[in-house]
Amino acid sequence: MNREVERYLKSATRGLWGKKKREVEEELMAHISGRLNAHLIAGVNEETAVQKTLKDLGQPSHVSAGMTRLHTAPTLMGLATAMSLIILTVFTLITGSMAQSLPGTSYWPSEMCLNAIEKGELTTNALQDVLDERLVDNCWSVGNSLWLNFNTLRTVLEKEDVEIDILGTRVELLFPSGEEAIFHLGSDNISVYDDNNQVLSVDPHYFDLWRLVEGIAKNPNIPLSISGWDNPIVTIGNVSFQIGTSEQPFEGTDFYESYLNEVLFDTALTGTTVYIVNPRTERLFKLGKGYDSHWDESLVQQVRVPLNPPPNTEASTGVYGVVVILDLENALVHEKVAHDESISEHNNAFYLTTARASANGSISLELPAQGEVEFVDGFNVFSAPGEAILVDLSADAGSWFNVILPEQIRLE
Amino acid sequence: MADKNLLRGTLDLILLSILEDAPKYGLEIIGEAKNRTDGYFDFKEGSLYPALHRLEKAKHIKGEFAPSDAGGPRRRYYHLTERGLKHLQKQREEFERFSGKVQALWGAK
Repeated sequence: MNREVERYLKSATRGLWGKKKREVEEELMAHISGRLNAHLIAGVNEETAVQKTLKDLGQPSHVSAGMTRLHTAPTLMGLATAMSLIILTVFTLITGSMAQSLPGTSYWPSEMCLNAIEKGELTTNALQDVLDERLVDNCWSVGNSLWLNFNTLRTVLEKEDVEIDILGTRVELLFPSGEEAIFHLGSDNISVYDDNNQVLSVDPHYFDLWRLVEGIAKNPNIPLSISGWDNPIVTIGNVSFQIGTSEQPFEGTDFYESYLNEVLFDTALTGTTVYIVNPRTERLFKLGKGYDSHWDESLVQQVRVPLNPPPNTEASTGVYGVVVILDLENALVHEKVAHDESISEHNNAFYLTTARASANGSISLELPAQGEVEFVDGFNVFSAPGEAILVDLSADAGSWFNVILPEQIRLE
Repeated sequence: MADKNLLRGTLDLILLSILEDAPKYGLEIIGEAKNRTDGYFDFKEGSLYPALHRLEKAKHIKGEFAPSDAGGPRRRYYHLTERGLKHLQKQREEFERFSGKVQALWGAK
C-alpha cells in the first residue's frame, strides 16, 4: 500500500479499534481505490493520482472525528450500562450510626503490616507515624485496594441471617431472599515482595473489597450500593456496613477510581489497545497487561472545570466519576518522528478521576491541560484533554447515572 | 455547492433518497448525489461516512461488504431497511410540508 494512503487510513480511523476499525479501514480503502482508478483511467500517473485522490478526500481528521464521536460515545454509554450491574445508590436515610463500621486497610495485609497497624505504628491512611524503616519499605498500598478482615464481615452477615459456606478461599453467601453470591478470600493473582525478594503473604482472613463487589455484582438480583466519600457505606441485600472507623478513616476516592478502572476493563473496550491513565496512582494500563508508567505532575497544568450536577441528584453528597478521552493527536505526531512503527499502538487513552460537589451543588474537578506520560518502552506521549463524560455514580435507582455530554462541559 | 446549514438538516433525507432504489457504496453515493443534482450536493468523505454509520446505527440502513465488480478491495454496500424506508417517507412528507409552508410565506408577501 502506498505510504501516503496508509497514513491517511491510519489518521482517518484514529480513535476506533477492533472490528470497527478494520471495517472502516476496508471501506475507506475501497473508496480510495475507486477514486485512484478514476484518475488513472483519466491518464494521470500514479503519483499524481494519489495526490489528487487524497486532495479529493479532504482532511482525514474529519472522518475520524465523526466516526470516533459516533462509535466511541456509545461505547462509553455501554460503560454506563455495565455500571448498572453495580447500582450505586444514595441511601440518604442510612447514616453511619445505623451501619456497623468495619476497619479496613489500604496497606498490603501481610502479617508484618497488620501487626504494625494494630500497634498504631502504621495508621490506615498515613505514613507519618511510621518509625520503623522496614515498615516504610514493605508496607505500602497496592493499587487502590481496600482490604477487610473477613471475620469482622462475617459477624455482620450472620447477624442478618446470611448463611456462609467456606471452601478453601471460596466463600459462598446465601441471603435470606434465597439469592446466592460467591467471592474469594486472599490474593491469588498478585504478589508483593519485600527487600529480600520474599513474598509478603496476605493474611488469609483478608480480602480485597473488590472481590466481594465483583462477586455480588454477578447476581443482579442482590441489591448492591456503595455511597458516600468518607467511610463509604456498603449495602448488600439486607446487610449494611460502613468501611473505616473514626480512628482509622477510609476515603472512598480511591475505591471509586478503582471502580471506574474496573468498569472500563469489563466493558466492550476489552481486547482493544486502550490505555487508561489514572493520575492518582500514576499508573497506566494496557488492557490485559499492567504497564508501569509515570504521569509527570510537573508537566501537567491543572485546569479547573466547573460542571453543573445532573438534575435530581443529591449534589452535595454525590459521587461523580469523570472519564476524559485524551487527545493524543500531538502525541502521535511526536512519536512519529522517532518511532514511526509505534503510531498505531496508542489509539486511545482515558483519564479517570472522581469529583466531589461543593455545598452549593457545583462540581469542580481538575483535569490535565496537557501532560506527559512516559511509557516503559522509552518514549513519551503528550496529551491534552479531549471529550469528557461525567458519570453520576450516586443518583437514585432508575436514574442512577447521568452522562453530561461533551459539549456541555466548558473549560475555563 | 449547497448551504452547509441547510445540508446538515437534510443529509439523512438525501442519503436515504439515494439508497431508495438500490444498494450503493460510498463513492457511488457521492457520485449519484452530485450527478442527480448537477453538482449541487457534493459530499466530502468526512461528512458522508460518519452520516452513513450513524444511519446504520439507527437501523435505517444496513451495510454489507461485497466483492467489487471492478476488482480490488471489497466494497461496503448500504441498503435501506424497512425502518429506513418508513423514516424516509416520514422525512419526505415533513420536508414537503416545510417547503410548502416556506413557499406559502414567500407567496404571501
